[in-house]
Amino acid sequence: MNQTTNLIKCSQLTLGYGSKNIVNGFDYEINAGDYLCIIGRNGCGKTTFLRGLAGVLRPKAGKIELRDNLKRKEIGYLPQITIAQKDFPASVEEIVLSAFQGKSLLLPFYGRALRERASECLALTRTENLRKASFRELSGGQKQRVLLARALCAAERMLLLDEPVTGLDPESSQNMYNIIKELHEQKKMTIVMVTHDVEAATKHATRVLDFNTMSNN
Amino acid sequence: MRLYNLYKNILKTVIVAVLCLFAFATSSIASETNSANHIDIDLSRMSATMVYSVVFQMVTEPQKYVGKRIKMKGAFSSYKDEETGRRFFGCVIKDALACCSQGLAFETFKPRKYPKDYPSEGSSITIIGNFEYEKEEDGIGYPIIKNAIFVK
Amino acid sequence: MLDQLLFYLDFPFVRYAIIVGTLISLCSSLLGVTLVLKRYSYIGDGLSHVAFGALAIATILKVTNNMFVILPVTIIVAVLLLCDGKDARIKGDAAIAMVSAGALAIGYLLMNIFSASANVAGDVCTTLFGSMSILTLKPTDVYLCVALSIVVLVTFVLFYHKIFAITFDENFARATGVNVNLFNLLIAIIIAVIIVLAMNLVGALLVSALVVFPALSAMRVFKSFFSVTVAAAVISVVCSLAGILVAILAGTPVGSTIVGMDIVAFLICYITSFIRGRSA
Repeated sequence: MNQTTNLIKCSQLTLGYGSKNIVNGFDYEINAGDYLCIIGRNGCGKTTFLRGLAGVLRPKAGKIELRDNLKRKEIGYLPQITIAQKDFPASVEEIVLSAFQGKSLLLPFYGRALRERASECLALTRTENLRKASFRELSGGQKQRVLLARALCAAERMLLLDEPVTGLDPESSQNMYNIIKELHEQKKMTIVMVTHDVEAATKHATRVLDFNTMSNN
Repeated sequence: MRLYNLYKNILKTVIVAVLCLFAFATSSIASETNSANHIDIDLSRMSATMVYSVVFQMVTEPQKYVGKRIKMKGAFSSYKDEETGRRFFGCVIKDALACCSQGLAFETFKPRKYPKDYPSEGSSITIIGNFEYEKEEDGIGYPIIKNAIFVK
Repeated sequence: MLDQLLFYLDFPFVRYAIIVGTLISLCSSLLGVTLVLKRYSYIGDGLSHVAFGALAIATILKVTNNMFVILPVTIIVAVLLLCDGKDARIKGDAAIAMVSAGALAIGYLLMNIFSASANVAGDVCTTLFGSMSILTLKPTDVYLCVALSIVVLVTFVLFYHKIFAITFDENFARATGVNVNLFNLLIAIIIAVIIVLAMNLVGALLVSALVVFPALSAMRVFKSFFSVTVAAAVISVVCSLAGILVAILAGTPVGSTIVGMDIVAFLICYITSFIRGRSA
């Protein structure tokens, strides 16, 4: 086993909403090159933990350190799709390009470099032919791949995926897993995935984190 | 490109708006004739919405309308000020919603006796007269149509 | 009829009404798309009731220009309601209902008790249904409306992409480093400004129609965010212009005529999408 580089180090991390703590005093490390699957039953805090890693939710106590010069903007995030998004009138291109909003300050339009990067990401998730399509008319699997392309646009080194195959038919799921595997192996991306699919998790992942076994409740 | 299009569309809208503005501005150069039976503002040929708005303007900015000859059609109404004993006569116009009625007081050209020389309360009348702004001793003014004549 | 129209256009207040009406409907439709997609449709309704309550207070206080009371009050309430955060979404729902009905009741009560004008029914009627307000604007109101509309338009164009990113996926935008809280605050303020402006055009009770209808109509037919936004703006402006002109020509109340036009436009879009769905 070669030397491992710490990318993220959580120490005494506590996350929650309002007065309710969902993740309590949690210590964990994520290493470069990991394909980490987080499993556990509903409500055990998988998604909350991922939201903490993505920087959407602020820790109530403890901290999340980014190591090895990892930047926030190098982490891509694929949240669970919301009901409102399912019939949102937007083209695939508009959605994927929106990933650059954190980087560009006040650019009134997207430059050529960003457009090319968006095309690359669409190609990586095999959605380049959907560029002009309307998001709300895509199938569930296509929607997820477009959102993965958006996450890739915002990411350089790490991807955080929240139940990327939930609600997809077996073929689309397999498709999704293949793309993720490719990104892990060929693009050397560190993958953190929350999933219910224990079988697939153990098959593809290099590490599995089981939230059921945690001391919490 | 997308944003360029957005700008282009917004620009177009602005240009159209400005053009409209100019068109209206040039059309507004009013002709100033002053014959005996000339009428400056003919409320009787306006829609209810317009009548309400014009009368509103007259009441809020009476200075602009003083001396103008006005024709209006509405319901006759009268009311007696119990303190001074003076009787006011009005021409009331109901607006489309019937809740925002607007009216103007008027005084006839020849003195008339109330009630025998006046129409019955609520009946439809058309009057022509001069718009004046009358100031009372306490400084509060009110608009009134003077030298009014009843017409058919 | 054209003669009649030209004759009406001689009056400056009619021209003001057309200019201000166009700008207000443009602004309201642009933000309407975001409001509908963020599932905040009835916030417009709630805020307009708050604005009505503020108007009642302003009338009692005899402030020189009502706007100086209405605008800050509405902005504060909008910020409190919209920037509450996601966790309080369900509570926010009840909060809007509470605030809107409360403000309406208090406003009407105050207007009745401390009525400054002889025609309370008329005042209430015109502020609630916008029967005439747009035609009775004072020159200062006109300038204020035009200035505020331009500020709203410029802000929207500058932050168009950010507004899209936040509307589509707040969490993702936050993860990529967009200052979501700041932009939500900005959106809340803009919405409050639009509601107050739109109250002049269609009255407090009909504001949400002006905000929501063009967006919903455009969403029926168009598929990208950009085309929906542009289409909503066009539909809204056309309906408002047609509404104002019909109202002054036919003598109908301005606010409800405009909303009537918006409903017609929605039905046309609905039927169009239905037919297209069938033939596809």
